[in-house]
Amino acid sequence: MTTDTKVIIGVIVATVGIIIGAGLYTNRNAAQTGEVGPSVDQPERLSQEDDPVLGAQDAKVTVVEFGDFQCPACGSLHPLLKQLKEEYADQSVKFVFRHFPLTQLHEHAQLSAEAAVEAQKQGKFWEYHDKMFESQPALTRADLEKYAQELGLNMEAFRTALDEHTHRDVVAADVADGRALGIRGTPTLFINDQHYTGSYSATALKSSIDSALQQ
Amino acid sequence: MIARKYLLATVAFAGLLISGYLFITHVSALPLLCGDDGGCHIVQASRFASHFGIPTAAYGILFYAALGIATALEKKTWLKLITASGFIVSLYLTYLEAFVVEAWCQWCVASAVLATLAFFIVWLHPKQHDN
Repeated sequence: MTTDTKVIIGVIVATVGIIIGAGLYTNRNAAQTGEVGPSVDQPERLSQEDDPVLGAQDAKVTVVEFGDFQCPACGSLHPLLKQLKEEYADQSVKFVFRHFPLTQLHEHAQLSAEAAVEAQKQGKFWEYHDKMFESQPALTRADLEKYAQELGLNMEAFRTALDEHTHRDVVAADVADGRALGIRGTPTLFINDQHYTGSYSATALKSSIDSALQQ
Repeated sequence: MIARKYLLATVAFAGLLISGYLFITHVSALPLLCGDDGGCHIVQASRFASHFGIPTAAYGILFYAALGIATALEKKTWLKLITASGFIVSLYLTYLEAFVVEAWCQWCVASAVLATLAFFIVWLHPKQHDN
């Protein structure tokens, strides 16, 4: 073996060793902190009175999702969150949805969010929310109207709200809160006032919610 | 072709750093640095961040380590096989970003560029002799 062969192999093997070592070390630290990051600086921005909520207002644990209806990763997370909403229905857990449309990436995200606010005003937020996530990526204006029709919303009010962007400010307020909390992408979850950094699996999420319930 | 050997070794090393970084941020709570559009968070939160239960970045580490070792040993047939599979996998992952996840992860794109580069370095030198 020539010297450069040995050097290259040495560097490659050492780098892989360092990566695996760092992975194991940081992974153990993540496990110790229960898969949630440090508490956020401005917990009052996590939810506001006008947010759609599922569960008792005074629940011990609050799960907040900052989401975008056109974001595929939010769509992938949706079935899992829906399952958790059912499983924790009789426990002291409430789920809050905040709008965080990534308008640069997703052309329908903004209007979808506004449509969801109108559905909320008409008392059908979660039904509309489920329908949009389950129908991704069909979120054009015509699609939004079709889902509203299927849920029996008042179509005249719905169309007006979309035409006049009545709920633009509600969405913008959520986005401003999200930015203040340091959100860069969607979906971002918070369990009480801690940023959830674990994986999007039922086991990982439930263990974090359960430990928050026991605190 | 000494220069080509060092070039490939550099590509392998740079690739290891990128996939190593993605791997560590995947398995731990360390933050993933990302452009303003949040593309890498979307990609890393997508179901394609793992394949068959193994983080996609781990395949990258395996690929670049194999590339580095085959380069060091000057194994030409290995190099052809390794870079061809790396190139095909990169094409597939880039396709997923563009059309399925619809978000760009700059680190993943950088890795795809490196894998493509390695592929052309190896395959565009038909008259090389095996040592």
